[in-house]
Amino acid sequence: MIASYPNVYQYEGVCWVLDAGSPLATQNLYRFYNRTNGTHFYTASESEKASVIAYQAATYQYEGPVYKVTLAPVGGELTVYRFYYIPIGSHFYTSSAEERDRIIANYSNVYVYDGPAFYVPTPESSFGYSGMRWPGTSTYWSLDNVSPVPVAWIPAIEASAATWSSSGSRFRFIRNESIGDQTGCTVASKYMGPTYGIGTSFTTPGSQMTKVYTVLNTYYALGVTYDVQNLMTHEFGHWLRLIDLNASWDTEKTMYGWGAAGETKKRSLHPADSGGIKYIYGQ
Amino acid sequence: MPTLSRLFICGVLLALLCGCSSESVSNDGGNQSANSLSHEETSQVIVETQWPEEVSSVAWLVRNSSAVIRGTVTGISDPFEATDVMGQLIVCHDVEIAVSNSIKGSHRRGETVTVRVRGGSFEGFTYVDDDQPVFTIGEDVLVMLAQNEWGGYGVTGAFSGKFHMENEVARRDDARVPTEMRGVGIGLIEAEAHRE
Repeated sequence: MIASYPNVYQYEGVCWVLDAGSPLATQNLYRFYNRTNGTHFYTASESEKASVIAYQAATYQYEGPVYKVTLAPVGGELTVYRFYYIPIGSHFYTSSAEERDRIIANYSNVYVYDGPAFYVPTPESSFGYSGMRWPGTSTYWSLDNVSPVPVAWIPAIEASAATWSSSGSRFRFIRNESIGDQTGCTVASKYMGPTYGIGTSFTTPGSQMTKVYTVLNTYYALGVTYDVQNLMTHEFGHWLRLIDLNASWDTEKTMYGWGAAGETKKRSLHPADSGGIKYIYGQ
Repeated sequence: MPTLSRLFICGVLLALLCGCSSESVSNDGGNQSANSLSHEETSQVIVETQWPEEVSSVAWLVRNSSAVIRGTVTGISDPFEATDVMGQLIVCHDVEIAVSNSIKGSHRRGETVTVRVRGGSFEGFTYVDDDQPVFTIGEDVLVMLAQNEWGGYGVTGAFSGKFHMENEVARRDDARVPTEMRGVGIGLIEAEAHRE
């Protein structure tokens, strides 16, 4: 396009980067060629695709799926907005909310706003899901009574659980000291030495989970150098079966696999983290 | 591998004679933690670890290791069952390394050092810990070692503390390690060890 049609198409750069491996990337985005004006029309709606094929085949030539997007966003995905351009009957797409608002404000005489067309899972919005989940939308958790955590850490651990429970999904962590160690999640602390990390979660897998426990390694200066709430919010994410992320674009997420001295940013969920729990357990 | 097999059998016999149990290893005062998992409950355990960023630094690894050796992997045992620091049944395997250069600690050239690695399958039970280092027989390695719960050696920082040697460069081709820290001259590691 750049080489052959520079007088028609002005290259503006990359609009978005799709995370093709995202669990959310499940809906085909379909492309049509508009024979009348030489432009392309995209839709992720199965019913719209069927309608165009059935009733507008003379104008639109169906070209097939181009890649996968989502129609059920859980947070952090890029929204792609669609306009209908009246003068030549083409469609315009933008992922910029600012551009959308500017067109609506200034060019509504020629552009008809169609609304969000589809959502693009991007690397920045991605989460890692193991494929396992708890039965239902809650689980019990408790403190281990053999290798107990210091009492001073308990409010931080409770706050970590509450962060996930109030993230907008249907899932709830419920503290229950009489049941949590039999089925559910437990948290312990132990001197484990430097062959272990700061926090380690042990999970019994299966499509329906029954038990997870996390051990906080007192070899490291927990509660002093390493923030317990920061650490445990990450571990509670593992309890939900989100997995570690280690890419350069993941550093602001709670599920980023590395912890840092003095770090507290993982106490708050990144949209990708809350998107993960909403994806698994509903919202 | 005859040597390791004999070692393992001796270890089992010693444990039986001493009455060593998961409780004594984990020093829990005779009580098994309620959260421990047994074979009856599951056929698989998945381990996920949060590491401090310092673990990727050579200075941290050397400082937190009691031994740093370079050598050749001469043997890897079959997986076997063991009890970890929390009294949980896990699966391990032992790796034998013939020391060619002792950078920190009291080991000598020609000595064989055994390093225990967590993970593997044993009698239908699988223990998955993707952070543990992977060794291959004949590999020229540099490893940072610290005492594990069994009184032997484990790799400090797991995946971060095992290097594959290419000439005089210690490499960690692991996506979790920052790119600029994946190749380290052995001279730098020796300098860190001598600094202590």
